[in-house]
Amino acid sequence: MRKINVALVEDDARLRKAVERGLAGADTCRLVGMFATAAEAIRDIPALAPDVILMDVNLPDRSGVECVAELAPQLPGTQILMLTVYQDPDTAFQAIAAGAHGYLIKPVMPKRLVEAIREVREGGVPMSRAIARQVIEAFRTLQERGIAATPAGKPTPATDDTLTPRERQVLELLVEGYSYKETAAQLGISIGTVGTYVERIYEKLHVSCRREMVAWSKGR
Amino acid sequence: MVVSILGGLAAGSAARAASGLEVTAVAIDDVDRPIADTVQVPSSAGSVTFSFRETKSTPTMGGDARLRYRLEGRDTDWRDLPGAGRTLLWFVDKEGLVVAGLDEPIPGETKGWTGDVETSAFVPQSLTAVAPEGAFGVVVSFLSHSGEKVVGCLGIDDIRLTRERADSEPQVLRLSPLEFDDQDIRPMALPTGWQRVGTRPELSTVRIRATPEPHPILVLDDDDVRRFGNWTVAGRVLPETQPGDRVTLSWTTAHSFGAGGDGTATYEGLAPGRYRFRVGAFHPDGTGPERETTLDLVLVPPFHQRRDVWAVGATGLVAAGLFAGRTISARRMNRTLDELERAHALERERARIARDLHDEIGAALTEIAMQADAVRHEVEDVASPEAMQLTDGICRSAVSLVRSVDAIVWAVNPANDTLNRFAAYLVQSTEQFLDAAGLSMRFQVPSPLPATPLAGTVRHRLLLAVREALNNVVKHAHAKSVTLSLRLGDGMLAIDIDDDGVGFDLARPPAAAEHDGLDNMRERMREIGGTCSIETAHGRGTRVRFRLPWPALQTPGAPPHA
Repeated sequence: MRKINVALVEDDARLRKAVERGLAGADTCRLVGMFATAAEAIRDIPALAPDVILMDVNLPDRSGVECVAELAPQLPGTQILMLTVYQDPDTAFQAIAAGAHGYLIKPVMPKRLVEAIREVREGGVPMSRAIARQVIEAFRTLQERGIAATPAGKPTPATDDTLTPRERQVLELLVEGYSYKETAAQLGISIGTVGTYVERIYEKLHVSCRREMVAWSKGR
Repeated sequence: MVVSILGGLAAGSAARAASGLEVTAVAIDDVDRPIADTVQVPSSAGSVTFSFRETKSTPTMGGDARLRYRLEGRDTDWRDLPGAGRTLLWFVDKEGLVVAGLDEPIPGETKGWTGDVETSAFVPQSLTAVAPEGAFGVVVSFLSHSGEKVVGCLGIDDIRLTRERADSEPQVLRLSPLEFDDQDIRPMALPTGWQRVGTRPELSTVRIRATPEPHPILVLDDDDVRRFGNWTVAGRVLPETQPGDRVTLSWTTAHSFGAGGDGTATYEGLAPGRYRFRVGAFHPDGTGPERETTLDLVLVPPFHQRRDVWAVGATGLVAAGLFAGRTISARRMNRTLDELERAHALERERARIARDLHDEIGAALTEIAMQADAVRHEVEDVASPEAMQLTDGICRSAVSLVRSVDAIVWAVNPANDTLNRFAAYLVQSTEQFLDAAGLSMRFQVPSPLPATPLAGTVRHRLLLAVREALNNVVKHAHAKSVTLSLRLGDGMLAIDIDDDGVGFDLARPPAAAEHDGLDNMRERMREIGGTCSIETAHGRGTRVRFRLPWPALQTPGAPPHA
């Protein structure tokens, strides 16, 4: 099986070294590039087109979230995992809304890092309960706005801002604290299918948030 | 948020009367409060609206003042009331009646405005319209008017009209430079082809712009909140305009518009602290202020946060003073305000130190954890069980230390001082902790939650109390599943931790559990004015109930919980 190509964006040299050492021992992935600033990452990563990007949230020049917003649209086949230092659900959510697929709270042991890279690559897109909470709220807001913008009497059109009943069920179970495994059992589906639903939810979130950002910037 | 208004402490009512300015009302969450009173309002929304007016003009300023305001502690510069002039580009028919046209506002201030139209930088502007059916000519007007209370100054130069028609050369009509029949160019001179209209024609003047070389320009010098000036071309221009013609009006302008008379200013999301609201009487061109009035505003955290304030010492005086009511002297109040400010500076400094510690120590600890982990893998096959355990221990301690520093940084960051941020963090850290311990979990936390203020100390104590409870579950309960629920209501924030573990005999708690912190939890809750109680029995699981009295939740308008 082909190794998973990984790029790392992290400003702390010690942590770059530690991740490099950690991934060197893994036979499933290969580190293809390390970057200390957002500028370098935005310039060089698109040409590398890695399978997975590990992205630090706090970079010296721009935030990791902005970096994701730049890179994600250019690299539709790449999964981005955020490395957050602070346990900051807001920042983690912003990164995910900008196009990231998950986040890991530092310190992340090499074994867990390798696992997480493999999982995200195999479509096991992770969604924590804390993020699920924010995702549900984001869709509620988007939908309220959508309804507000629709002329009275007309049904709200099915758009990217709307979740299917099944996607909503998955989200609600996660918010209640169910794991993927428990969610799968509850709905009578496989864990893989739960992952697929989550992936679609992320997809809709990315599309909606990008459109929101465009609408917002045009409205200025 | 509890808001207290301390009117006229330093300024004194005599000084205020002399300023000819008056703050007439302060509304907290849209409820009017008389400013002479000291007001305490528990509020979760926390909008503050100031109403103010000019009571009389003073001899040094002939007309009406332009009112500006700023809130020291929030604003870094004066703010204008909204005001704008207007440009009209109208098409008229053969009878001179208006068919259609453009009416564009000229808002705010141009870049390079010096306070004097004669020396300010002029910026290019243009409007384009297509002549409609029935159009025969064009009328152009500049007005110092868009609403009732506009005051300001507008200079207009380089005016030209361009008419484009298919199959013919564009026709250009230059309305600048201005021409005069009379050689003597005075402010009230009338340039050829123009007329003064508006409700007060003498506000339309002619002034001399200095650059590129001195030349006359049209100016509207409006210091009248009720009336306005208007420069309009005399009669229609561009005769024999045809439907379908593209007409472009271009000009350069320097202007600054605001408003006078009276106004309001609304602020939202003010953090607890000391503020001073200032209203200034400026000249219509924006220079000044000529005079001003001030009003001090102190936002004191509500009582469940105030322990935090007391903890930093001096500010307790402010709280005490406010309870004592109106008799407090101005000097004493000013002193306590300074102390409150110092306390806030201290808080900011504390947050900065915590962040620096985190960034340095956090990174170093992460490195240690990862290196210890690498060593463990390296020596797995050869090391003794003791050595393995020790390396494991290093790794775990480092990880747990990073988390602790995390929690401290989170607690001292004032940006997290709200209930919804607390809940988000609580869910995330609980999830992480229970996931690592291999327990399943359920959350009953309403969504969305209000952004009700919740002070750093309170948040931190609550978090530590919940962690203590979760720690006990993981260490002693032999549970499979934990439920965390958070509710609001009945003047209370309620957090329950339920597990399905073995429970224990309340009369004789196991020594280890006692050691691990049943007392700790009670103590942490007691410190913030809350309680902790435990329901359990052998084989029946355990429920830990945290209760924090919260009077703000009883106010009408507090969002219902799900």
